[in-house]
Amino acid sequence: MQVWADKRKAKFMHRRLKSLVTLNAFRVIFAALLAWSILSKANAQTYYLGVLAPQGETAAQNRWQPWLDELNNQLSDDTVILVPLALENWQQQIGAQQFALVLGPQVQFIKMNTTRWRWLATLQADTAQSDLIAPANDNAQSFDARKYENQLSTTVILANEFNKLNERVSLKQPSAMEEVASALWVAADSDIYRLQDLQQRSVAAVDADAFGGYLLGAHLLQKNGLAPNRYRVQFVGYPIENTLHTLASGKVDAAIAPLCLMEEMARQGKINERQYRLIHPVATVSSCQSSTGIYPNWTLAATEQAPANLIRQINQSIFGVVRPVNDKNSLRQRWLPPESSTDAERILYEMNQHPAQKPLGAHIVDWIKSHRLWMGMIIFIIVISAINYGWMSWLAWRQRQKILKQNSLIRGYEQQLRQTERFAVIGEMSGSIAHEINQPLATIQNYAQGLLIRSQQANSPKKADDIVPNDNALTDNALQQIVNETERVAAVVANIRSWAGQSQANEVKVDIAATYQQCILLLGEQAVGIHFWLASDYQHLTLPNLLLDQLLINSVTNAAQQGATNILLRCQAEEYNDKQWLVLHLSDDAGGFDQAQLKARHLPEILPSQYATQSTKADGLGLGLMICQRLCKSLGGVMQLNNVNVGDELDKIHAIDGKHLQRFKRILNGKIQLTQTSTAHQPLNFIGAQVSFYLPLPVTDRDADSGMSHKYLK
Amino acid sequence: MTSDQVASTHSDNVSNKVPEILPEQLIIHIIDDEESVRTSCDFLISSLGMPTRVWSSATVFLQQVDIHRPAVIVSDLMMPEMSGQSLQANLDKCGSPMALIALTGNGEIADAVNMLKQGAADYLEKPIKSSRLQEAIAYAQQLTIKRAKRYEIRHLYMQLTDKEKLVANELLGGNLNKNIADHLDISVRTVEVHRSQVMKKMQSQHVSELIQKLVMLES
Repeated sequence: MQVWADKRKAKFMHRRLKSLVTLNAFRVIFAALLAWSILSKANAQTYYLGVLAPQGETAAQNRWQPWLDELNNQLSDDTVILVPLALENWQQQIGAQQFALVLGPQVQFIKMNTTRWRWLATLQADTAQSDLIAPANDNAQSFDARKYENQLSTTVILANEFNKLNERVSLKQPSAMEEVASALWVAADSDIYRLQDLQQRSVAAVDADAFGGYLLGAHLLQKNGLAPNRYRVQFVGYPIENTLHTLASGKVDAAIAPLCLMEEMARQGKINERQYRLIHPVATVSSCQSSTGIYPNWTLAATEQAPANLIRQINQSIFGVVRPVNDKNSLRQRWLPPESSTDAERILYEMNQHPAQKPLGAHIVDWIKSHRLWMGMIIFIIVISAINYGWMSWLAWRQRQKILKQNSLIRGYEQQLRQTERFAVIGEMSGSIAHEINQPLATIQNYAQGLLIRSQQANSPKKADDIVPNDNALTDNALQQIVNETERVAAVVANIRSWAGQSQANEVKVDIAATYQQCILLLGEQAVGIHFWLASDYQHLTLPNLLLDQLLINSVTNAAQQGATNILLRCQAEEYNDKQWLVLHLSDDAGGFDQAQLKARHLPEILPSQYATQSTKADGLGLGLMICQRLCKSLGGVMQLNNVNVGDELDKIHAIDGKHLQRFKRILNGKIQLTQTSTAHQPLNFIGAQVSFYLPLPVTDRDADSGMSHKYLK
Repeated sequence: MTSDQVASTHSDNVSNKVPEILPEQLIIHIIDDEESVRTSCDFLISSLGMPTRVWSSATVFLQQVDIHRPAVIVSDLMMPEMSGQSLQANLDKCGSPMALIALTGNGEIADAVNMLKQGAADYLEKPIKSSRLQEAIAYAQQLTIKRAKRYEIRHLYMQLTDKEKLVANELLGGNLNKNIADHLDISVRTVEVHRSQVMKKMQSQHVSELIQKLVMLES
C-alpha cells in the first residue's frame, strides 16, 4: 500500500513538474517574441542617399524626393534620407563613407574608389519616339529614330520597349538632370557656325570635372582639331544654369551646356530659346537638342555601408513591383539594370582625365619599383661617379689654384725682372751718356788748364828757361779743340733729346682688332670678368710700330685698374678743330674721372710724381696716360679726357657697321682664351671715363669690300 | 832705423855714385785711344814744362819704348787693344821701374784699387784737375827714380856669387869678419877676400854704403 501510494505520489509529482516546465516554456517563448518585437523595432535603421545636385539643392530635392518617399514606403522598417551634394565636394563627402546609397551620373563614379560597391540600376533615358525631334537649326533634318537605335544600348532599347508596351503613358518633360550629353550654344546672331569657328573664342563651361557641362563638349572640339589651348574656357561653376546665363550676358562667345538645360530653362522662363542657336547638332533619342551623343544615365549604387537587406528591398522596389498605370511617381523614374560605363571611360581616357591614367611620374615610380635592384645599382654607380667627379674636380681645382699661385709668383718675378732690366738698361744708358759727355769735358778741361798754366807762366817773373814758350799756334789749336769738343757735347745732348722725344720706328700696317686682342691678353688676370667691346669703321691703320699697342695697353690697363667691367673701343673718323682726324675713343664704366682731374687738362701737372706707374683717382692719372699723351703728340695728335654716359657710348658702338662689331670676354677655363659673344652686359656705372686719341693718320682701308683703300685723313 | 830711413839718409851719397836722374828729365808717356783726350793731356802736361810722348795704344808703347828706363806713364784704363790694367801687369812682370798714373773716365774704383795693388803710382778721374795731376806726376817721378835705383842695385847684386851673397847678408846683419868666418865655417882671410869682392861688385866705397844699397834692395 505504501509502495502504491508512493508510486501515485511520484506520478502526481511528475505530472506537476511537467506542467510547470510547459508553462515556463510558453513564458520563455512569449518573452522571446516580445523581445524580438521590441528588438526588431529597435533595429530599424536610417540610411542616407547622396544625390548629385548640379542644379542646386532645391532642384535635386524636388526631383528625387517623391521617388524616395515611394521607396521608403516600400521599405519595411528602414528609412532612406535624401542628401543633395554639390559636385565640388561630391567626392569628398562620399569618400567619408556616410552614405549607404549614391545616385549620380555614371561618369562621376569612375573617379571614385568603388571597389566594394554594388551597382543597382541605371535611370532610363527619356526616349519617347514621338518626342524625337530634329535639331532646331537651319541644317536640321528630320530623321528616323531607327537609324539611331544603334546609339542606344540593348538594355535601354529593351527597357524603352518595355515601358511603351506596359505603361503607355504620356512622356514627361525633359530634364537636364536625367540625360548626359553636351550642347554647344551660341547667340542666334553669332558668326559662329562651325566648331572650327570657336578658335580663339571664349567658351563658358560648368566645371573642369563636369561631364556633360564640359568634358563631352571639350572632347567633341578636340576631335575636331580644337585642343583646349586653342579656345578660351571660362568655368562658371554650379549651378549649371550659370553657363547659359553667362552666354546670355554676352561675356562669352559660346557655352557648353548639359543636355536639355536650354529646354528646361526655356520652359521655366529663365531664358528665351529663340535667341540661341545650337552648333554641331546631332540626332539623338533625346527630345532635347544635343551636340554630342548621349551617354549612360544616372546610376544608383550601394556602398559598403548598405546592408544586404536594404539592397534586396530596393531591388524589389525598383524592378519587382509592377506599378499601376496611373501612378504618377512611376512616371518619374524608370530603372534599368546597371549600364556599362565603357563609353564614358573612353571619353575620360581621350581627355586624359581617367583616374587609371597615371601621370608620367607615377609610371616612372612604378617602373623604378619593379626594377629597383637595377635602379639601385645604377644610382650607386651614378653616386660613385658623382663622388669621383667631385673628388677629381676638387683635385683639379686645387691643382689649378696651385698653378695660378705659381703663375702669379712667376708673373711677379717676371715683373720684377723686367723692372730690374729696365733699371739696368737705364743705368747702362746713363753710363754711356756720361762717358760720351765726360770725354769731351775732360778734353776741354785739359786744354783750358793748359792754357791757364801757360798764361800764368807768361805773367810770372821766372827765368826764361822755365817758361814754356807760348806758341800762338798751339794756343789757337787748343782753343779750336775746346770749341770742337763743346760742339761734340752739344751734339750728344741733342742726340739724347732726339732719342727720348721721338720714336724712329718704322711705320707698319696694324690690325686694330688683333692689336686690341693682344692688349687684352697682356692684361693677364686683370682681364677676367671684363667685357671688351670693339667697333671700328676701319680694320687697319698705318702708324709707327707698337704705337697703337702702347696707346691701347696703357689706356686699357688704366681702365682695368679702376675696376671697369666694360671697356669699349670705338674707332671712327671725326672732325675736330676744322680738321679730319682718326679718333680712338676708349671708354670704361668705372665711374669716370674726378672733376679736378678733368679741370687739370695738362697731364704732367696732375701727376703725383714722376715715378707714378699706375693711375689712381686719388693720386692722378699716372705715367701710362702721360706716355700716351706724348706718343699722341709725337704723331702730331691730341689726347683728350672726358666723362661719358656709358649707355650713349654703347649706342654709338651699336650704330657702327656691324661687320666689324666685336665683343670679347675673357674666360678662365683651364686656359686663357678670348671668346666672341653677343650677350649684353649691364654696365657697372652709367658714367665712365673716356680717353680719346685724335690721330692725323692715314687709314689703310675703310672697308675690305668697298675697295676704298689708303684713304688719307688730313 | 828702418831701411827707408836709411835709404833717405844716404840718398845723396848714392846719387853721387850712380848717374843721377833728375825728375824734370823724366819723359811723361801719355797713352789714350781717344785722340782728343790724348792731345789735350799732352797740351796740359807740356804746359807744366815736362817732356811728353803720346801713344795711341799700350801695345805700341810696349813695342817701342825701353821699359827698364825710369819714366812716368799717364794711361787711360779703358782701351781697346790693351787696357791700362794689362799694361801695369806687363810692367810689373818685366820689373820695369816706370810709374803709371791711371786715368779713369767712368770712375772704375775697383779697377783703380787693383792697379794700385799691382804697383800703379796713382789714379785720376777725368776730367783732370791740373793741380792733382801735378801732384800725381811728382809722386810718380820720385817713384820711378827709386824703382830705377833699386833696379840698378839688384842688377849689381845679381853679379855676386852665392858665397859673396852670404857674406853680404852677414855684413848687413852687422857682423864682424871673425863672426862671419865662424858663421860660414870659413877662415877670416877668406871672408876678407869675399868682402872685398862684394864691395867691388856692388860699387861701394865703404861698408855703410853697401848696407844702404842692400837695405834699399830689400825694401
